[in-house]
Amino acid sequence: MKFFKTGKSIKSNRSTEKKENKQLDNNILWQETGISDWESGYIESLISQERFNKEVLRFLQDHQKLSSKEMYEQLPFGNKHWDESPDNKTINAMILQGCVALKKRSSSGMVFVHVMKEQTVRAISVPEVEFSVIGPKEAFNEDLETNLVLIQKRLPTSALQIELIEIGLRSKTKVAVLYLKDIANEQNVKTLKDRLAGIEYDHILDSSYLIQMIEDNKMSIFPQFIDTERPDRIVASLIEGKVAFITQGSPHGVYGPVSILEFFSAFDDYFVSWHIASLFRLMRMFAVFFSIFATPLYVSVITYHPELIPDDLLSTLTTSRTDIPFPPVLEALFLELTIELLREAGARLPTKVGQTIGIVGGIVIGTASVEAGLTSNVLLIIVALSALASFTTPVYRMSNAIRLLRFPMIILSGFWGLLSLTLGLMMIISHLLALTSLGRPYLAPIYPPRLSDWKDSFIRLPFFMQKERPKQLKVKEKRKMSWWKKRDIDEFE
Amino acid sequence: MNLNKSKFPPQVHENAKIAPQLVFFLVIGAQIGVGILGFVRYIAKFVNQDSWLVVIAGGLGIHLVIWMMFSILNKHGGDIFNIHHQFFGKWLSIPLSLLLSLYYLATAVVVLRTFIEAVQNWMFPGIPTWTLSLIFAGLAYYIVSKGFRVITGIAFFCFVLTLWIMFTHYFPIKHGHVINLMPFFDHELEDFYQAFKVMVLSFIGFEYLLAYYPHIQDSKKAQKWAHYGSASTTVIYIITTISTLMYFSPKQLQGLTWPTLQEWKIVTFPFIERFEYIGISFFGIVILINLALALWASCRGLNRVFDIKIRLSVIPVSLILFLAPAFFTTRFQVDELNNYTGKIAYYLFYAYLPLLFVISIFKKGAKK
Repeated sequence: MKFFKTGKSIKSNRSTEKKENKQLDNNILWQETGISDWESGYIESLISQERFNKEVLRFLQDHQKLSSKEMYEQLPFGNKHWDESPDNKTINAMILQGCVALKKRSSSGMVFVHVMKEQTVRAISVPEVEFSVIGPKEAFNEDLETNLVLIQKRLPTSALQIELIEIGLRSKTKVAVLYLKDIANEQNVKTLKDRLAGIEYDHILDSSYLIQMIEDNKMSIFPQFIDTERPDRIVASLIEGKVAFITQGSPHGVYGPVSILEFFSAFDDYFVSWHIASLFRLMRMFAVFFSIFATPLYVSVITYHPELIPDDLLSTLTTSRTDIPFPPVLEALFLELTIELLREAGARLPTKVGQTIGIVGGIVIGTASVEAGLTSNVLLIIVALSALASFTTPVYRMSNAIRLLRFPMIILSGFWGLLSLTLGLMMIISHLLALTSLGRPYLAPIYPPRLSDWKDSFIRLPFFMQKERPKQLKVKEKRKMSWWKKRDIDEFE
Repeated sequence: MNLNKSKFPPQVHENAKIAPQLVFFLVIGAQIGVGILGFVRYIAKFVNQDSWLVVIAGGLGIHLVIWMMFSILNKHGGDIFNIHHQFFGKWLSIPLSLLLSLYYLATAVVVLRTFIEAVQNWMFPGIPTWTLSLIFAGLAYYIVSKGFRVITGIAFFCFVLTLWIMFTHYFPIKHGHVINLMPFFDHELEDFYQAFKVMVLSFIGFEYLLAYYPHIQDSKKAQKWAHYGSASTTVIYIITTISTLMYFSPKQLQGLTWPTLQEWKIVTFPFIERFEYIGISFFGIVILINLALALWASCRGLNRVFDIKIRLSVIPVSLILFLAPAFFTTRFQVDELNNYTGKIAYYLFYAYLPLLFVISIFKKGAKK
């Protein structure tokens, strides 16, 4: 299965690659070791010079009489490789991976020993985007192995499958696909693996590249995978029966299939009591609706249906709008754009400057534009609130999509008011209905309606009620909990 | 073009099938359309305070038709187009199936044109017909092009999002007079029959089942849900009829085109007045499922008869849906359009389907 048409540029790249493969890489340093007739080849920046000297060369010196094959067998290294008559392509590949090639001048066989330099990686830090007050405070970093360790130590089970593939014609990025063998649906695993394997692209620099390349509907503005910086969230998703992947060089793990409601659950919902968690979740969902529909509703009501509003409220609204020279649509669009501008400026600047920009923009521009009679203060309140509401969505990709959705809605409401707004709502719903994530319905468990999956969707019920995994994932092992006996009143063990 | 396609029952992929329970939403979603906004006046013209009896009778009649439909489909398998082929042979089945397809499209045009009229009368007097029909036809096209499961999803959401509108009948009932419903059974049978005929128009929608029957998993189990759906429609119609009859006096009612919309005028909440704007807007959702399902059924017919891909046929068919409403300009024409469709539906339900039923009794069923 191919997801990308290989363009001309990539083809020509390949042919140059072939040419390169005929000769040895220029960066490789070939030299005599000075020990009997051994020569060595490596790239200086890739290998640990100290280990090479202390371990490899010393061993060579102590066992000078051995032939190459015997040397390969006796070298005390775990990661070593023997090739009877290697061609230049293999030599290049092995050395570029951080190996030292050892060869006796008399024989053609070559020994490769992996002595790559220890990479200095960023320390495991506190999650910044998905920070939670309670709960673990470890976040992924850019090193694939560290990230895998973070997951493996939370899931010490042999059922955890880690499969590596290399993606990227040039970047050769390592991607690890993870799932639990005894739980995850095989179809889901296969879909993800097939799609990842089908990618043909020059470079993969982050997991978000992959997300965009393997999404079911690449034209949709809704994200169809969740990426998270929390290892515990990945582990929870694996246990639920989902499939995840981690990319070398990316501090985000990605999992799927997901449904739209999962984008509104923050991971600390599981750390606080279920009442609070449910309340917060409902609040977030309300915030989404508010964020999409508040401004368009205001626009359509003020423009077309002022009769809808009761007298007392209407007078407040009209007085706030008497001096405004623009129609409500333009006014709303202007304000929404201003807010987006502030957000974008804040996001591009260093934290401290960003805060200042926020204050300057929010307070000064807001007050000034109301006083200048350019916007009504009621609309200012609504726009500010809906911008605020859009930031409650825990997954960054989703909150972006929601903010983008507001603009077509505002423009629509400028056409025929409430009527076009309901049509807009139906457009969104029909689009969501058609969406899938790894082939599973995106709107589950709302549609197809599965009431048993609602325990952990709009609300989060206590753990003892969540005995089963979500049905929509079609997992192999349905039960999460082995047994739960309810004792009677006045009955003790 | 393969004219023999309808000779065989359609092959529907498992992923394109829906659970039998969802037929409930499809039936109720397609039955309740824009008709609910005005049907009471038409039946009250004949039977006044006894209208609700006609609604019940109409509902029961539909149950009978649904039962007949399912016995035909269950016995012979496939869909109506396949059954045409089995019963009437290749050449006679083509015009019949085409007519049915055309009828499906006509139901969509009726719903769309009537709704646009309501919008033009109540919300935006100057709005040109084609603008609204463009948006609706476009949206229906989008939904149909996403497949049958999405249509079912729309039916589900349509039900969930608009059910609450029923509770607004609380207001007219609160202000209404029970005395308006008295005396019972005070009309000639002939009048009841006339009203019954008119009532059929409001129950249109379940007959799409003839086309989407193969899209149901365990199709036989769906019968129960189709009956539930139709029964719920009847209940909703009864509530509407009673509230309208209680709120308006007979003479007043005859002067109104949209009694339900008129009722909504008195709905008030502390923060919202003039509820009819919200009501009409939400009815946009209600008619969307009508349009999508009718469009789909129509294209499905073309697909089964001529073997044209739905992906292709949906484009010209939705173009027709976009253009057709503009040809009906006056209130009179819209009314006539409704009447004719109602009549066709009446003969379809109570003459043609019974005929098929009788034939199916004597024909051998599909091999298991």
